[in-house]
Amino acid sequence: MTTPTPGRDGLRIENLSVRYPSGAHAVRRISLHVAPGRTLALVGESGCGKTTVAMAVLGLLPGTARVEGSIRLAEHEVVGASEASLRRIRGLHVGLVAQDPMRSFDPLLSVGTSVREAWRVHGRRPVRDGVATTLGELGIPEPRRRLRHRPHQWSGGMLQRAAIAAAGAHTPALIVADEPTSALDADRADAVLNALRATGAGVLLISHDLELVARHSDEVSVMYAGTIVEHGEAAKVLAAPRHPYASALLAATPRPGAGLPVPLPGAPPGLDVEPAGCAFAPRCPLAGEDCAENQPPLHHDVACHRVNGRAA
Amino acid sequence: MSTTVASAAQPVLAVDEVWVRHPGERRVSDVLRGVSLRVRAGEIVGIQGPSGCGKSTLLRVCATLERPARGRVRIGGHEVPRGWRRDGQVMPINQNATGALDPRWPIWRTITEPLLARHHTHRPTTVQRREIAREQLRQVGLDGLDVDARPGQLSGGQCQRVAILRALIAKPRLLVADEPTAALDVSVAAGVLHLLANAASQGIAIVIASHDRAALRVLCTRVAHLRDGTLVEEAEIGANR
Repeated sequence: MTTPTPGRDGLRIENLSVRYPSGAHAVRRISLHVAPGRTLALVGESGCGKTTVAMAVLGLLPGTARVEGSIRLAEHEVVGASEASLRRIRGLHVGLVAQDPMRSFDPLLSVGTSVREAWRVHGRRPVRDGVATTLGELGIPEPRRRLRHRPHQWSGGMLQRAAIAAAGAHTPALIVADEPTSALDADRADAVLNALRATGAGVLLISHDLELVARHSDEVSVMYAGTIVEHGEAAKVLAAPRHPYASALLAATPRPGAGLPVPLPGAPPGLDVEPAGCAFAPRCPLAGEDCAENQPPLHHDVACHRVNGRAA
Repeated sequence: MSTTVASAAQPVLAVDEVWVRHPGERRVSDVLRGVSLRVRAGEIVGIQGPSGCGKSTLLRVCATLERPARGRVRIGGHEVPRGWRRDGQVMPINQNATGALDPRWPIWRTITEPLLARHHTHRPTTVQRREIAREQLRQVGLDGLDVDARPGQLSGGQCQRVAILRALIAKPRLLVADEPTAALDVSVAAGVLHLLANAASQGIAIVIASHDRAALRVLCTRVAHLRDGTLVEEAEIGANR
């Protein structure tokens, strides 16, 4: 995890908590770091808080959300920043690749116009054929001809690569990619992730596709009920998860030759109640009495009483 | 597929040399070019292929929702007549379950409605239908759900499980599932795969399209690839199950 950070840092989150006015405590004291050029995946079930983290990083949470802790993007603090400085930070240091590429593009403009506009906004004057060259490098065949097309004439995978070309135009410190491939098939998903990594930015990848994460991430943080329950090198965590939730999530993922995947029992807890003990305890096959009483801290990158030898 | 083999297990679904054309941007294009497919009772056949290759068209043909320009589709050995109402024998499931459920109906009504089809001799009463719905929901881990809830109050995963319960409740002969797990969380998707495997073990024939290769591999008896409008069968992979 000690990557040299020449020039500027990527994303550094410390003790971030997000509460919504509904009472939901969506993110609970999480810390993480994404260095430039590295990919960190946030994985977990719907409602675990991973998208809230992404929105907090982009400064796009609703004004009514209560945010505590620190989010620094290339050394600029996002939490509590004014709308004007947020716009500056977004413009200079972060890019977004959203889930549905069809919605990221204006249907009335050609794809080329949209990408060129993003480049101009980020202060990069597109040289002749610059956009086409970049898209060619991202594996779009005949980019010059295709750039004149409207978004509906492109496939989802091609559009998502155009979105990456737009998001990476200003060589931001970080690109947030929120389920960027959930609308795509496996081959195209790989192409999109390769394109993302090729930008050289740090990538915060929000995904529920563990196979994809295993292939394309350096690190992974597993989230459950607003907390990080396990963190580590993606290859290691996904090959030999230590937290019972990470194991259960992996067992629920179909893998060739592994038989039918095993669904997790029960459902994730509501986020408006602060559990006295481990939030996963009610669904955990290993849970004992102490698990319901004390919240396990993140110790050696795992938040589990059982793994860390009973209570700390 | 020129010879007809009279085997003990007659296929539930027989698709023969089917061609489908769709109007394209500049010219009419053949989406399916002579596709043949057989699915027997209890078999799960996976259809794989890149986006836009015609998977959904093939599945609509299998579900008798779209008539091919050429070729034959037979259900249980019988040619599908024009305007056939399917009578609950063939049930489709879509990726977008929320859109497939009637938003005005409480879910007990949606789940049990297929039991009212004409050929059912014992049609349940409303009281029975609510009880059946409750029991069905319990089996898929949705015991907490109010049977009077409308689809709008449900999450995507809950809607998909409701749609599958509806599709299976009247024991159709054929289930046609187009990307049934694409919009779901891993755990919910795993539950859906179990539902489908369980349905097949009760003798229901299933055709499923998915871009999740791993899911098809663990679930299906056979996987076929759709490329350039033709279907290429992959070697039998049942041993992996």
